[in-house]
Amino acid sequence: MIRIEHLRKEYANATPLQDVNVTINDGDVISVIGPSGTGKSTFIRCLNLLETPTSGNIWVDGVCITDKKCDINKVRQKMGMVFQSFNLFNHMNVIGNIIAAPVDLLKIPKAEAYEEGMRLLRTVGLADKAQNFPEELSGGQKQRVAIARTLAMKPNIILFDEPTSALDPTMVGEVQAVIRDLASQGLTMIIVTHEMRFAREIANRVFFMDEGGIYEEGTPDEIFQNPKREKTIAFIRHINTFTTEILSRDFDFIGLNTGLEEFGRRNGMSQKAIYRLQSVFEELGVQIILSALGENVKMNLSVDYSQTEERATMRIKYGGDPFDPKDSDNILSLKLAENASESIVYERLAPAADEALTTAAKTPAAEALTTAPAPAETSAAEIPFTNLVTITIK
Amino acid sequence: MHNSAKKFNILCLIVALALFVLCLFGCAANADGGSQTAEGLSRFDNARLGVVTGSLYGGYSEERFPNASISDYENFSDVLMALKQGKIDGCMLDRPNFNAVKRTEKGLNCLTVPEYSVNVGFGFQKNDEGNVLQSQMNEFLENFDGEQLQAMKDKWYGETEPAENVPLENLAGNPTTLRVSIDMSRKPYVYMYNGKPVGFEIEFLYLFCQKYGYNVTYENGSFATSGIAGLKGGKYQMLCAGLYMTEERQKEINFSHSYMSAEVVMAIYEGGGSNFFTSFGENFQNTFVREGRWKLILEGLGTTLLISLSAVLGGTVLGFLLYLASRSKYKAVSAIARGFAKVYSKLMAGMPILVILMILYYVVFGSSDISGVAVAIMGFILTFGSFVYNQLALTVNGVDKGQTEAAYALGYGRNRTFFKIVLPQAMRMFAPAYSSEIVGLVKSTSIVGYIAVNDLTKMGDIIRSNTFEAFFPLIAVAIIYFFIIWGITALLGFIQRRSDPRRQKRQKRKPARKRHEETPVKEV
Repeated sequence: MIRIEHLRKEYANATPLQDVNVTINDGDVISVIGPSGTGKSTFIRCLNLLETPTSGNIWVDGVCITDKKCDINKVRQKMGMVFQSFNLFNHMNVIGNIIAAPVDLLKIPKAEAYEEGMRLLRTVGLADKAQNFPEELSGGQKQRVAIARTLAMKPNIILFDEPTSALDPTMVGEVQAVIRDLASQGLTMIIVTHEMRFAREIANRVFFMDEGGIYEEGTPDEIFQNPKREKTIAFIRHINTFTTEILSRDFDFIGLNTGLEEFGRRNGMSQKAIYRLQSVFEELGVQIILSALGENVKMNLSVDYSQTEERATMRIKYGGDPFDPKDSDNILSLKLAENASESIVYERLAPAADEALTTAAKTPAAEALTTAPAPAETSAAEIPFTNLVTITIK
Repeated sequence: MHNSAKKFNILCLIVALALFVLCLFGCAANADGGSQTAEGLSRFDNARLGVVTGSLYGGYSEERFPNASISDYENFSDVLMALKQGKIDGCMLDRPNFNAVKRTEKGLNCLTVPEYSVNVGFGFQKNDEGNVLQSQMNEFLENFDGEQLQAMKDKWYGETEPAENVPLENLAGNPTTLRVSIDMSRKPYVYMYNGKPVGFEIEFLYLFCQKYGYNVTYENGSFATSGIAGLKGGKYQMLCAGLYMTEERQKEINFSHSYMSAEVVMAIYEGGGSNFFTSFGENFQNTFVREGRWKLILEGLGTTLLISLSAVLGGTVLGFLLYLASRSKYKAVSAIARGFAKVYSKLMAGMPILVILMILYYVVFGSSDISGVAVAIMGFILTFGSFVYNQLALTVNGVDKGQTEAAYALGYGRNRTFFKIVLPQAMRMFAPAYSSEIVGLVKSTSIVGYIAVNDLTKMGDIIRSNTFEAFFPLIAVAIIYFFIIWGITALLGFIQRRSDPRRQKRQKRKPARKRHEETPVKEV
């Protein structure tokens, strides 16, 4: 059991943790989520004193580790940590990494530690890499070795600090599978992660961190489906929807594509689905709609993802004359978009329903009384959205 | 194994080739001996003259031959070498000196320079202690039997080499010890025979000490670079270097009465008629065999290795301890160590090693009788320690912080983390720089001659000042350095490869691969 009271961590120019009070029970699997820079990593690094708290107390299994007299090394032996950057010992081979701490610290005979190490390697599927050096492994393999190394100390608690953030998308799955396996064994685990689907599926409690502490806490369903507080709601919505406006033909296409990819990964979409999402946007949104728009480019893109249906919905709104992209003479792009999507539906928006229209309609009239408005000055903000294409992607 | 044998062959080939090229150079230089005849001093008016830097003859040459071009040399044997090779047309020296050199250099001739003469005497400190010694020496000179003095002069200044040792070691039982600086490049006053100092002044010193009950410890060094400075600094109490009693020097140090006034001659070289190849064997003989001079080279090699090894070991320990102190968990210790290390390494980085050595020798330990070798070891330990400290700090910092964190998270303590996780990884970056620094250190030990240490280079110089022959001493010294450094590099490389954890794996894999290759053959 970990009890945290009034935990505070200050740096010279920031205070990521202002006042954290929480109790973590044995066997809890906790996902720690939240926007960047809200002290998630600082929080779990305080739990094994890799960061020294400015004030406050932490008890681990009844031992007050913030007490100066506490032998933190003994506590750390029972509290493993898995890092974002793996941190395998580069000068030792895989089995060496695993048996080093048990042999050095727990004084387990080498042969025994070796047997146990090989057993652990088999459980993470890397027994054949025992003699390899870290630099010869892929990221996913390194992280699995790092987990095995942590397990070799037989810890009661394991802290995961963004264990899959440094991995190629293709390797996230193998590491998550190992962690899932651990969660079912009754270990207490605290996981900082940006993979929302993973965070939701693995945990029995979710901490949403913001404003210098645990802003909202609850079961995965409470946080992800029914968030109570304002910032949690915004964050969850942001996870579930991706919105952006395109106001120029020279917009940052690569940046937008990256945004789509991140969105997809946050929601646990498969790599193929993410690729389909991107290609629909490129073919339909850029090749057909964007090139059909006149001088004043204004386009609104939003994507939703439904976890239950495992389906993404992309909405593209734009102004100008009625234009159904399915009527486009760019047959190739249209075909590609159709292949990548489940359905493409066009509808004409009623101009009156759009607030932008009313302001846009008023302004020229008001200005007409004083000065003659030059058509070129019509800004993008004044163009009403009159067209909507809805695409679903599975 | 194959590979290293091949490497060795190539190496030998290169060395042999270098030797051959140098031979040709030496040959060409030697052949150009010049065949001039004495026509009077006027022919030197526009000539090229050689002098030892800071010597009396620099001034004389300029005064007497204002239009001559004058070249400065480090010591007298270099001047003579230049004369033999035709780089200069003449050089001034005193008559006894000329006679002594002429014994082995038959091609040498001379013209008297009547305008000048020099007075030669012993040097002492300019203080109370020096005054006492000075007056003792003067008393000794005044009471010295004139016939005996003349016999001694005839013996040492004569045309044949007096094959005689001076038994300085017999003085060992005497109560008071006299620290003497000798300059063995001053034949016939002070020079080397069978590896021991001999000469007129040495014999005189012996008789003097016998009478006044002194024991002698001596260090060999150039009077210009170490003798006079050491006397002033209190390092030595007496200077035996066939020293001329100039006004300028009299301001700095005390002189005994002059025991001799000698005429000054202009030496010229008229060619010995022997070309390089006929003199080759003789030179070899003179450099290595005669008086067992090869032993001097071995002795010098021993000194060079002693200084290098001690400096490497001591410097490594010093740098390592300082680094450990700088990362001590006690804040006061680490703050002091860091502050000290900062100042210390700045100082070491900002001064040439030669200057550091001279400061240690003539200033810091100026008045103690600590030996030059000890000072040299100390100086090199200081510079090497500074390198080790800085390189350790650099490479330890270069190890990813994540390694430390991972070790802490597993429950490793501070020290264990450092020694078990961080240091082994830092060592992989540290090792290459370390071995090249050692190589640099061995090379830079060649300057310790400046503080009266007879290392390999200095021994080569001493032999050179006896044989007046540059080729063999220099080449021999160069080759020895080359092999020392080659050996060190090979050894360190071997250790480095040995300690690489990856090596063990490679070895384990090899038999596995072989088995793999064999199986299909069996099946066929």
